This record gives sequence, C-alpha cells and structure tokens, in this order.
Amino acid sequence: MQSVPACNVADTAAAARAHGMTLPLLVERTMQAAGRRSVKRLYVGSNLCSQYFLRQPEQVWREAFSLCRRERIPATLVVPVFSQKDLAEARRRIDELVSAHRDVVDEITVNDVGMVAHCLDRYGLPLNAGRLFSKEPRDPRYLELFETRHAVGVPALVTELFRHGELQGLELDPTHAALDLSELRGLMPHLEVGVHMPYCYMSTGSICELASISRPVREKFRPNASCSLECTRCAVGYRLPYGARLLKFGRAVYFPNHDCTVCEGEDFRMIVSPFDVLVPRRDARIEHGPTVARLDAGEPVRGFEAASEGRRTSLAAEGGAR
Amino acid sequence: MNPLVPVNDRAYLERYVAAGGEEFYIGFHDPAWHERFGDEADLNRMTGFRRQANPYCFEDVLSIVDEVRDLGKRIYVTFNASAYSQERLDFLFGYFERLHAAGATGAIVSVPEAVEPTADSGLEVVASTMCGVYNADIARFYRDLGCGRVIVPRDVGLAEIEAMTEAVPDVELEVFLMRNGCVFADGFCLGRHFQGRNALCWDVRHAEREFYTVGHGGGLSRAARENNETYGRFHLSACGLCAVYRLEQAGVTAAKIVGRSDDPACVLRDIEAVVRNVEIAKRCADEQEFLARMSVPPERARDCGDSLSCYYPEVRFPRTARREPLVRAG
Repeated sequence: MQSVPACNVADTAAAARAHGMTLPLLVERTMQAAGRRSVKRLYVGSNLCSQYFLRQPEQVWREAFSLCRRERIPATLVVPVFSQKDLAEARRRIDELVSAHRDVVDEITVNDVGMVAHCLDRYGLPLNAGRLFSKEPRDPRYLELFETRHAVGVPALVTELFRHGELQGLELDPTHAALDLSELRGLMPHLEVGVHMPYCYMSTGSICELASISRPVREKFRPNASCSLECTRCAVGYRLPYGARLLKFGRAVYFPNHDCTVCEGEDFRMIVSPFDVLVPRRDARIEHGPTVARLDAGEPVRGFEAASEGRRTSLAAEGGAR
Repeated sequence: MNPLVPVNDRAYLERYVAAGGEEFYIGFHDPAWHERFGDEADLNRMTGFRRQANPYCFEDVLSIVDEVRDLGKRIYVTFNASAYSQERLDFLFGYFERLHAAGATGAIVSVPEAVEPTADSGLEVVASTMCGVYNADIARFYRDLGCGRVIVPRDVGLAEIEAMTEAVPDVELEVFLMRNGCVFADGFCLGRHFQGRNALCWDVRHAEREFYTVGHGGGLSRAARENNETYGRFHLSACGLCAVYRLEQAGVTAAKIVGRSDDPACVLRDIEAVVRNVEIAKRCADEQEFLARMSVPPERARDCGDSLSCYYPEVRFPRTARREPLVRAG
C-alpha cells in the first residue's frame, strides 16, 4: 500500500510567520517531521474554524498558492462550516479564491451538507467530504476502545452522495490505533481516501477560548466572534488524569496519534498537519519551539461546586446533547 | 414559543404540565440494543451515562408516551447518537413504528439517513442539535429530506436565529434556553460519554494545561491568565431568559430546557420561569419593555452579572471595541 504525502496548512498557515518561518519552510519541516521527503498536495483554508477562514491574511493565501505553482502541486481548498451571520461573506470569499486560483485549486473539501450543494452548483470542482462528515466516536481516554484495529465505517450520507457523483473523496481522522479501510474500499473502490496525521480531531465548537483573551469578561466566549487570529500565536496542551494528552489548536481539540497504522487499503492520501512543528512534542526534538507556560489543574476552576446547576450527576453529566 | 421539557422523572410529569410544559422529550435504554451491538454502542448521545440519563426502558417510554398523550401534550423521542451504522439504523426503525403506534409526536434524529424512515413511520421528524444546523442552507437540506423542525445548536447567536427564521420560514426552529451550556458544539464533539467518567468538556476544563505562546516578552499576559480562569467558569449553568422577547417575536417554536439527568425540581422551576416570561413578552410593546419587566428567578439572577451563564449574552452585554494583549510585554 502506498500513501500520497499531502500537507495540511488549513487552520495553521498564518501561524508560520508568527513562529518565524515562511510557509514553504513550515511545509518542509512538517513533511520532514512525518518522515516524508516530498509533498504532492497542499490543503489550504480551514477545516474547523469559520473565523480563521475569513481572516487568514491575503498574503498567506497568496503565499500558499504561489508555493503550489512553484512546486507544481495542486491545492485543495478546505472550507469549514459557516454559521448564518458569515454565510454570505464566506460564499463571496470562496468565489474570489476559486476564481483567482483556479489554476491550482483542483478540488474543494467541504464540511457540511449545505456547502456540498452550494459548491456543486457553483464550481463544478470535485468535492471531498471533510473531517466533520465522519463522526465515529473516538476517545484516547478509553484505552480498551482506542487500542483496536478499527474497521472504518462509511456514513450512509457519504455513500449516497458518492453514488450520485457529488463526492469524490472522504477525509478521515486517525481515530484508533489502527484503521482498516477494507470495508470502505469494498463499498466504494474509487473513493479518494485521505487520512489526517498525526493528530486526530476530537471536538470543536463556535466558541474560541483564545479569541476571548483580548475581551472584557462580559464579552468573552461569544460564538463565532471576530478575532485577531490569536491561534497563530498560542495553543494549549492538556494532560488528562488518565494519561491522555490533548492539544487545542484554534477552536478544536485533537489528540496525538503518531503511531496509527492504516491497513488493508489501496493508495490513500496521508494529510499531515504541522502541529508538531508549531508546538512542543514530548518525544520529538523541536529546534524552534515556543514558550511554555504551565497552569495547574486547580487554578482555573475555583468555585465550580458552588456554581453547578442542581445536577444529580454533576461530574459525568456535563457535556452532550441533553 | 413552547417550553420543551425533558422527562427525567415520570413522577413530575403532571407538575411539569401544570407549570406549562407543552412539549416533552425523552431518551431510553434498551438491553436488546446492547445485546445486539455491545455496551459501547450509543442508542442516543447520553447512552454511556446509562440510567443516570436514560432511566426508562423502551416499554416504559411507550407507557410515558401514552400518559403524555392523555395529558393532551406532545412528546418526542430522541435518537441522537453521533453516528449509526446501517445495521444500527435498521434496528432503530423498529422503534419508530411502535412509537408512532403508541402516539408519540415525533423522533429527534441526528443523521440525515434516519429522516426518511422516521417520516415514513408516520412520526414528525426533528433534526437534532447533533446535525449541526448552523445556517439556512443546512436547514433547507433537512427540510427537503423531511424534517419539520430543526434544533439550532446552542452556540448560535440570537441574530442568527432570527435570520434563520426569516430565511427558512417553513421549518420550525427549536432553540436552547435553559440549563447546561457547553464549551463545545454537540454536533461536532466526538468524545465518549461513559458512566463514572467525565465528559470531554469537563476534562478539558479541569486538566493541567500548558500554554504554548510565541511573541515578544515571556509567559502569559495577565489578560491571558484571567481568560484561562474565566474559561473555567463559563457556562457552568446557562440561561437565556433575556432573549425570550426576541425569540418569541422571531417565531421560534420551542424553547429547550435541557436536563435529562438533572434534578426535576430545578427543571420545574425553569419551566415556570420560561412560561412566565413568554407571557410577559406577549404583553410587551418592545424588547426594552420586556427587559424592564421580565422575571428572573433568584437562583438565576445570582449568575446574571458577568454574562458567563448566558445563552444569549448579546441581549444584555453588547460587544465593544476594547481588546487586551495575549502575551506579557517583555
């Protein structure tokens, strides 16, 4: 089995400059860290943050597409979910980007069904179902569930869209210790499968912790609030009580899964994100790592017990669509 | 705008109705499901919390449906796991027909492929918050599949809800109003829920953390440290009563009171608060009059000062241009 190396600078391209690198250098170091000597495709835009997509500086977009032209590699435009207030602006921005860079943008990755319809109607470019289309549970806190060879299931919606010719590809996350693509390949042998490495997306939302740093208390944590791309200069690492580690980059939380193996498939794209270049990794040598400031677990949560809301199961019941 | 109430304690049903509960929702556990698919298979988003969150089995639910129908109210049954394989979906369809026969109003579903079979069974179909209906395009998609109602995710602003009611007037909108906010989006959170272990959002807010920053100076600025502390206090409770006037004016159909695992006495007080404020809103000429006259229960009022417990803080706390630095000046 072969994997085609691709670099995913969606959500991170603007961080290169803040970390003292050019985008080409970020890409080079990312692929080196993944043990790959070449890159065959660049993913540009945002997987998970509408504000990042709308606010990535024009210079960064240009730098990304220029890199594609120089290296003669295609670009995938990655489009996140936009909430109602940003939808019209997002459509304009996507129009501008596709129009200006059609020579290198040869496909679009979308993350919601509304954008599937819009992009199909408007651009005629091949579409990939992004990371948010595959919602199989994943959770490194539960070793007994994580340390398995996971047969990747196909969301029925993706099957349907693929059969209608509306999708050409599907992006997956390294959800388990090993991924088995055979069922997927059996059902849709011509589906272009990409696997994000080496971090698995786990959770996100419209509220950005980092974008609220600059706001007064009463204005913090508003959904899809405008920001200054604080995520280009700050990330958060978590050490959970069960030994698991998580990384918050932008609005999303990921867990590292560097050892994930992909079994039983044909070719797939290995879509590498540059988190290991931008934040320290315990088992990696980082020459240009950022400053680390540690806060202990007790510091941010004073007063929680007094504030909990009459719940009978106060610990376990936080979270989820109740 | 009707309060939508969790049936978390059957003994409270009549009191919920007396307080003004018009619509109800419920999940259930089913040993047959777990026998077929294993203990870790989610029938709904709260399955992992076992009977703390789903105290009733399917036969109980059929009986509760009957009771709610006799009370002249509507009840929806939730099937809102993050994902279902085709085999699991096929199993779900067996529930739908029996629920329809029992008189359930509808089913809340979390995946597009469940919509048509649910509608075919005769049940009304509600797109769960797990569907991530963040804009009118996505709402239209679910409408065209057969959903008469969508639940707007809890991290959508009030003006956006108003815009969606205008853009898709033929779809009922249900919004979050009371209890249990979250730092993540239900539809995009793929962490597991298991009894005796914390939800991911809890762990993230209570873990030891390291901030990786770049820029001039060293370490986190005071603003960043305060932000970290404030994040730990965000949405420990949640209330949207200040938005009732605008939600009512926008034509929102249902106001969701969350709390399938919460104290029923607290849920009861929230129903009373919602009903009371909807009535006040109907008698007010404008939002300012409503905000002056609205009734906030004392246990809610104590959280009103800093917006961290607000579903729709923009009503009372519009944003300003003030900004603080990320890193400490060096």
